[in-house]
Amino acid sequence: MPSSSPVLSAAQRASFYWFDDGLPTLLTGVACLLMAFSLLYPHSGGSNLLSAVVALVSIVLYGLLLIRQREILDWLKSRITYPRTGYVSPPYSLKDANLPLGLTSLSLPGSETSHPDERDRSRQVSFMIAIALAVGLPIFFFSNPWLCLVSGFLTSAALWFGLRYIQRVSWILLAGFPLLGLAMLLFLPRYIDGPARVAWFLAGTGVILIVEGTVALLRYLQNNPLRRQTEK
Amino acid sequence: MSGNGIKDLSLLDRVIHEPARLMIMAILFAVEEADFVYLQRECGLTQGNLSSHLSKLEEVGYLTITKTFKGKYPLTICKLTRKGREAFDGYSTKMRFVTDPPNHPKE
Repeated sequence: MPSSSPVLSAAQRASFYWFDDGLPTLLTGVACLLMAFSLLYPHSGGSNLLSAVVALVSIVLYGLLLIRQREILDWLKSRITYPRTGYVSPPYSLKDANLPLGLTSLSLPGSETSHPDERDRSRQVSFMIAIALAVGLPIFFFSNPWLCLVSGFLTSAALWFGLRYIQRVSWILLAGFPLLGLAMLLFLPRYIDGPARVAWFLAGTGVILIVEGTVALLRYLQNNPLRRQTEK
Repeated sequence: MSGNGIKDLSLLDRVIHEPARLMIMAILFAVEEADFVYLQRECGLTQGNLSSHLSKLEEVGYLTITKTFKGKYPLTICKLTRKGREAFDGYSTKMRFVTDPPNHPKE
C-alpha cells in the first residue's frame, strides 16, 4: 500500500491526535523532573536525611508514574480530551503499557492492527534509545562542558529525525535542547560529577517537555472548547 | 477477482462501497477503536448521518458499538469485527485489482 493511502494517513492522524493535547508530553516532562530530583538530591549538599527523603519520594513518584502511566493519562484525557474531540485508541498496544514514559509514545499502534510501517517505528524506537545512550554516556563519563552543548544539538537532531513521522515536533523541543546544552556549558560548575551532570540534563529536559506540553495543552483547549454532549 | 473482467466490479461489497461508510471503515481499520465524536470529527459527517451509517455497518456485522464510560464521560466506542476487517481487506484488494491489475503494463 502506498504511504499516502487513506488507511495509513488515518493511522498517522490517530497517532498525532494522541499528542495533540500535550498531556503525554507533560507527563513525560514530570517523569524526567522526578528522575532528575532523585539523582540530584544526594549531591545537593543538604542534610543527609532531607536528601534521602526527597530522593526517595521522587523515586516512588517516578515509579508510580511509570507503572500507572496508562491509567493516569486515561484519567486526564477522559476529563480534558475525550469530551472535546473524542476518543481513539492510543498509538501503542496494551502490552507496551509498562514501557518507560517517552518510549511508549514512540512505540507501535494497536497490536491487532498490523500496519506496514510497524517495523519502521520499531527501528525508530531503537534509534531513540541509541541516541539517548549516545547523549547520556558522554555527559556521564566526561566532564568537558562542550559535550553538553554537543549533546543538546544531538538530542534536537535525534528528535527531528526520530519523531517527525510519529508526532509533530515543535520548535520548543528543537530549540530547547541546544539552549539547554548552552546553559549547561555556561552555568554548570566543572567540578560536579557524572550522575549530577546527567541529572541536570534530565531536569532541563523535563522543563522543556513541561513547557512544550503546557503550550500544546493551552493551544488545544483554545481550539477545542467544551461542547454539549448531544450524540445519540 | 475471478477474472470475468468488468463484470467483477458488480461483486464489490456495496455496504462498504458507499463513501461515508468507506471513510468509517478506513479509519476503524487503521485504529483499534474510536468513539463517535472522533469519527464525526474525522469524517465530517452530521450526527444523524454518522449514526445511520454506523447502524448499517453494525447490522451487517462489520463493527460493534459499545456504550461505556471513561471516568464520567460517556463514550460510544466503535470497533471493527473480524468479519468487518476481512471485508475491508477484501474490498481494498478488489479495488487495487481494478485500478492497478497485475498485468498492467508499467513504464
